[in-house]
Amino acid sequence: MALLEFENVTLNFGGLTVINDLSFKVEEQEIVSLIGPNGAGKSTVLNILTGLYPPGRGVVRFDGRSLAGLRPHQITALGVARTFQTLRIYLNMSVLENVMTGAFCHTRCGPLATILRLPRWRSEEARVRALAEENLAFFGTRLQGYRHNQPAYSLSYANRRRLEIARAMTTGAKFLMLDEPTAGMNPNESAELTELIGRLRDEGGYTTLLIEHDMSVVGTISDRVIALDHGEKIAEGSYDEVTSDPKVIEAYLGRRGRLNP
Amino acid sequence: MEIFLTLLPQTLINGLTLGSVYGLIALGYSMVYGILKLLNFAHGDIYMIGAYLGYGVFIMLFTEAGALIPTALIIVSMLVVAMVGAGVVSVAVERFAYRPLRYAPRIAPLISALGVSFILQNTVQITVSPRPLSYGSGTLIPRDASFDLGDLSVHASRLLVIGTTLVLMLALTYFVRQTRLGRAMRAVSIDLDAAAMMGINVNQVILVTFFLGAVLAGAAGVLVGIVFLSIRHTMGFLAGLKGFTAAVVGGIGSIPGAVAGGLLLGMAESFTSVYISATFKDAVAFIVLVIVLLLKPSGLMGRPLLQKV
Amino acid sequence: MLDDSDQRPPATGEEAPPRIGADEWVAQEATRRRGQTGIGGRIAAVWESIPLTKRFGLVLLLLIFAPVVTGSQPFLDLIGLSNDAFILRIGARFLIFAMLAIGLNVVVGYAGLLDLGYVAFFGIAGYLYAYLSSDFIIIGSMKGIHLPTLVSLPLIVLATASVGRLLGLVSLRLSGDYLAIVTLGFGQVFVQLALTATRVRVPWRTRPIDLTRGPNGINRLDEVSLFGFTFETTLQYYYLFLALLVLIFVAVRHLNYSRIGRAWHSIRDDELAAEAMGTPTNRMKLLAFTVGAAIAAVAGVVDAAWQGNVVPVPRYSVLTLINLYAMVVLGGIGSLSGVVIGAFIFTVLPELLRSITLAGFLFYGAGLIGLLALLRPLRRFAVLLAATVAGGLVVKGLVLLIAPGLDIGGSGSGSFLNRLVQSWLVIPESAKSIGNVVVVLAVLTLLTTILVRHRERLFLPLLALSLYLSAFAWETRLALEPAATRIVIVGTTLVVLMIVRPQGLLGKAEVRVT
Repeated sequence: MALLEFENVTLNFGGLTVINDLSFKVEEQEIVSLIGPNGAGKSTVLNILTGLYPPGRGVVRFDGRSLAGLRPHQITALGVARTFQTLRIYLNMSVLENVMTGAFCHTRCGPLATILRLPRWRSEEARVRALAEENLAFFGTRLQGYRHNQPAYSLSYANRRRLEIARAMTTGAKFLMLDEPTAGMNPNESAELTELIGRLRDEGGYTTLLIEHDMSVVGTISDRVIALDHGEKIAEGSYDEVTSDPKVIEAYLGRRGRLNP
Repeated sequence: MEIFLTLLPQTLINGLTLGSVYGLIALGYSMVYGILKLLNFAHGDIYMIGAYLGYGVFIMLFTEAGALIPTALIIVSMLVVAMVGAGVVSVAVERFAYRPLRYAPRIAPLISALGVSFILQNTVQITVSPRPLSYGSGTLIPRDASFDLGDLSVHASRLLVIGTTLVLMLALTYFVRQTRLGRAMRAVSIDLDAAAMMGINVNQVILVTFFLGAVLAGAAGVLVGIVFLSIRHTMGFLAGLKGFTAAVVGGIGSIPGAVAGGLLLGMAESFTSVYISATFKDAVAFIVLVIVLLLKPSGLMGRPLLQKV
Repeated sequence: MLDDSDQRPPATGEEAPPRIGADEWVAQEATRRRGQTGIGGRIAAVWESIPLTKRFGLVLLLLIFAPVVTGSQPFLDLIGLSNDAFILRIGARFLIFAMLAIGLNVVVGYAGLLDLGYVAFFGIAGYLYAYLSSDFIIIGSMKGIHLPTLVSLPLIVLATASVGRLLGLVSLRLSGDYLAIVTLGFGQVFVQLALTATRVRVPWRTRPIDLTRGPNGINRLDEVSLFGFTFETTLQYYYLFLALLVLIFVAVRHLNYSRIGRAWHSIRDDELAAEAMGTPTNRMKLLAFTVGAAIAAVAGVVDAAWQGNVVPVPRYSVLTLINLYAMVVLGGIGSLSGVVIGAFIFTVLPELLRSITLAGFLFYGAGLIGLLALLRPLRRFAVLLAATVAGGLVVKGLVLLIAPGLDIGGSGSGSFLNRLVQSWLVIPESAKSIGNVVVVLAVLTLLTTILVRHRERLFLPLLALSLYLSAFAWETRLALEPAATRIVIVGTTLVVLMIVRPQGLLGKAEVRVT
């Protein structure tokens, strides 16, 4: 059974069809990239998946369970976490706190246990802190040591992107959705992040749905590529298959042209 | 049932009068909020300033010997002085208390506005009087100056309120729709930074907005004094609160919405105090607000806000 | 400039050469932003070197022993009071407001919910206590309900917190400013009902019933009694309040440094992201409302018992609300110690302003210190002061020459400072009505002065003129209307504070994406 299934999903916004009869699957421990020109509906797929947009027609199943009617935080608790194209970290919180917030959905201590600092609160808090530090350590030395207590607004753009991924990892999700994680990064940083996404799968056992414009990133790590245009799936397969598909080339470049690998 | 019918016309007229006043105040709130996303809590006190300026003109022109000039002229000069004066005060408030905070955290201008409200109210209390000022019943407009419409008799002061409101609203609509500055206002309300980059003098537009809003509130202050015959320095708070409620109910940023919200609130209040109990007349505005916001979060005539993820 | 690909940890030890763009520059960012220089900075540095728990302990000790000091004879002689009842009352009020400010801080500072109806919870708890602990409610032959505090307090806290939760439920669908207006309306409705619900008709009774006794409020409430001990004197209440404040402070601090506090902060910074990252934002917002209302309820109950009555205005009105916001904002939104300090300043300052003498010293003192700080170099300040004094004397001389009868001198009230200023000014007979005009003129000149602050030729003369007018306004009108003047000063403080330091004294500067 696939981890994530989209079955004939259609979403209209005031007469405009944003997603049209879209079906696809993501298997466990797979890295699937969603590509397509601007406005193709890539981010919309993510927003439907995380419950930020109302579900249209069709069924979205995660781990065999329909996501219909669930609020975003409930979906996250099931094991789906994301990053945002526009970077939505908590600017006024420290780096470590930012990551620790992700642990909310798998911690349980209520107000009373917190106020009294019961032993179970202490152990839970220690566990969350350790988890957050561990996830930050995943990014090497960049978000380590003195950085833990720095406010997030002092971070560079690339570090903010890493922080967002660390926060998503801390939710305990096994399915990560990264919305243009390399946007605004220089080629070196992009390459490094690409390698990291690979490690997320190999070492962390994560399944990844990636939205990306940078074809070199997509080509390097994707197990499978799905191309969207006008809310419809126009191609699916390996990177080479999809990028040589005439429909994809047409969507990107108009008629007559070749996609540059 | 019979009592209901007998009281109905008068209740409607009362509601219309109150609603006009709330609508005038609501417009200023709505315009400022539309442009700066600022809850201008001092707006109610601008209305109070208008009421006091109008009263000052009244005292000067209406001596113990009687009116120095015809009543109509007195009323016009009261309105003009109050409108201009309130406008100037409001512009000063914007310049000194809000403009330095345009890019500060959201709560800063709000607190500043509360501070301005304190300053205005208590300065009036110190310099004029802590006690209510009274026009004296029948002094300005004789008690029997009523117009009979069938069984219904409407006092001239109420017609004055409704008429003035109508004229001011038409003028405002013309200004916003047809003039260059009005277009600039609409542009700034959609995107302040973009408008600035398109060569619109944003500071000027904001000042004009504050001025116009205050002009309407100043007029409302004078009219309230003429109808209810008494003003005091604390009158701005509740009226401002209701004006803002009206603006939110009608859909903030919308001119017809502010008027509709004002009328709805005025009617609700008038009907409550006649048919239920005057105790609850202030509570009803709040109940209307909650109901409207729950049914239609962007207000009666407001456009829903879009959020991009 | 910041070389982000630098992977080395921050350099330590002397041998590490300084590198442009190295990470230590980033590491010291917070210190630089705080800008700790001068004497104030050094004191702050010493204070911050003390461990946190010890700092709290020191402040607590100070508060425990404060009544001992203020009650001692040498201290009373020093300030010229016969007993310390007045000071104790201020102390007790400070503790109540500190509790309230902490509660408001949970809602506004942590969760970022602009709740303008907060005082209503304070009031609801007060009235509930009045119902449960006085002769007000008469059922059959039973004269009033007199529940023991240990029963009534939890009941009232529970009931008030439920009301808070209910208001929260309504507000969940509203955001930001809409929330503000709905809650403000809620608070206002509470006060209006308390004022007017004296003749409410109910179907099952022929006579209308009085729910609140209107503006007079309900009197003769029971004292707090715990485990057989009845609190009676203000001193006893002071220690009760202090104990409650410590409990609340610790509880809120623990909440803040936990998953719950982090959830609140994340909602404040980016609600949508918080929801998408697994935080049940609605539940957490409701929790913030509930906790805030519960704290207000505790304060409301003990305050009503201490005062022995409940009165709607001004205690539960918007005036108190604005005072509370001033405390929270002045201390620094989100900073627990900050709001307690804010509560202290805003309860003590208005009391000081009650006395004409002290208010005068504060007025002139704050004005001069402010000018001293603003006018650099020092020479400009000296020139200004000399010019103002000389100008005033010239005016005085001219008046004495031309129309000697005009100046009748001051009222002679207040301290030597007031009398000194009054003899310098020209104070005519109809000082009161002229003073009214001068108050407005002084404000206008001051504002104009701010407008022309970049034009030196106009700036200093205008500033001197505004100083003269301000002194005149103060001596003839403001000092004589202490109640209203206090509020004007509080209002001005708020506006100036927002412009100079919007994050408050101890708050952190916030960053917002627009």
